Amino acid sequence: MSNTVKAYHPLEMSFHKNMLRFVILLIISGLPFFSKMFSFIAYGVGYPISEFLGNGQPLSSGLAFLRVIHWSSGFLLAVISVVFLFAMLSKINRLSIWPDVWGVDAIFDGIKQMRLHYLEKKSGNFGKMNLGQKASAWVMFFTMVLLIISGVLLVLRNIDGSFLPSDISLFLRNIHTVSFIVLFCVLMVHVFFALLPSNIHAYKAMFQTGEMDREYVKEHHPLWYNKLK
Amino acid sequence: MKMPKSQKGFLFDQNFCIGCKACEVACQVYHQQEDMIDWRHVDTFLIRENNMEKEVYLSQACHHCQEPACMSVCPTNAYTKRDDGIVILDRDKCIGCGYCMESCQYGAITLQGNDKKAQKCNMCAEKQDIGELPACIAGCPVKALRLVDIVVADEAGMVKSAVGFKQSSLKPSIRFYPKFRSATFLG
Ligand code: SF4
Ligand code: SF4
Repeated sequence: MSNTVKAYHPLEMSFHKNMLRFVILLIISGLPFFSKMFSFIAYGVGYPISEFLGNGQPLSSGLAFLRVIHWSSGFLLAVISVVFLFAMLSKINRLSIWPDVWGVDAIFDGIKQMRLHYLEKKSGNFGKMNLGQKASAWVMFFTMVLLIISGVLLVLRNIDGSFLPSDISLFLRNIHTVSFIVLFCVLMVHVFFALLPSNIHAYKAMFQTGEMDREYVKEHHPLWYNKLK
Repeated sequence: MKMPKSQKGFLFDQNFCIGCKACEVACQVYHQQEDMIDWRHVDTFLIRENNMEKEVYLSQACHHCQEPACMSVCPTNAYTKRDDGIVILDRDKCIGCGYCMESCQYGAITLQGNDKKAQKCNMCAEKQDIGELPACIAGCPVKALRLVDIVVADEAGMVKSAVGFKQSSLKPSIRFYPKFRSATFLG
């Protein structure tokens, strides 16, 4: 028997890496539209462009450029997400985003196991992902779906002003903003936990090898280990 | 936001407006607006007065608000407020994102033009700068539209409400002659 177990499918690893790139691009290009506090990003991008165009409008040029980046990276992210979802349909159970046990008691137990692991530094009775990871995966999934749907509709309204009445587009923009805030908070927590030293095995598996040490899995992810046997 | 030294606004007399839309047309002609674009528009409302139904009209354009939402949301800072309170849009800065249109509670901004950029009433600032009246005011045959200083209008007892007019926190710079008849608004 091999000393390692397959933790992530190459498609999952590639999707995760590309999603990370697009999300960074989307956040940077979207922030100046989110709040004027971030106009410096638009000015930074816009100065060389406005010099090149000779239009003397660094802010507008920067925002116009960032909007193109935002739209195109959002479009590409939507495309790879759809491809990924279809490709993973047959392996959907392996994504480990479903509860191992259902019910309110299971939620309380999940919280207890996380406390054991993160605060008391003991081994929790986890599956491949713990309760927090599963919950954040679902929040990320739903907020991204909302962001993509509202984003596509807003782009269409931007191309054709009569496509949606302004109160609907305002509503969509609010959905886009609130989903972004929620997603951003969850992403920050996700990144924080991903970078914890205790998470190094999973980190390496996701970004480098795709595999995790069998003994480590046995000790730290017993529910998953039982399924692998 | 820097407060303007004064605040110009429109004064509208709903008692006398006959709904002829001359103001709307004068605005379209002077600003050479494309088809279907009307920075100023006249809406019709039904009221009941002395047990009889009748129509009243409301002529509206940008209200050059004292706290303009368009100006605070525009990411390109395309809006500025002049010292006389007129809210000016620099269309060279506009990238057509539509934020201003969505934020204006008076539907005063449109992006339906061929260039897909925002456009709205500028109170004919360039005409005023050479001592002329805005086109809509000059075009009204019954003088139901006038130009006022908002402080002066308030001191003179002009009111902030009229049939069909939506109040908002943006402090719109429009005032109305007090109603001289009692009537019930029907819709
Ligand atoms: S009426 Fe609308 S467009 Fe005019 S100043 Fe107020 S918010 Fe801006
Ligand atoms: S549409 Fe133009 S004027 Fe309106 S918020 Fe966007 S950039 Fe500013």
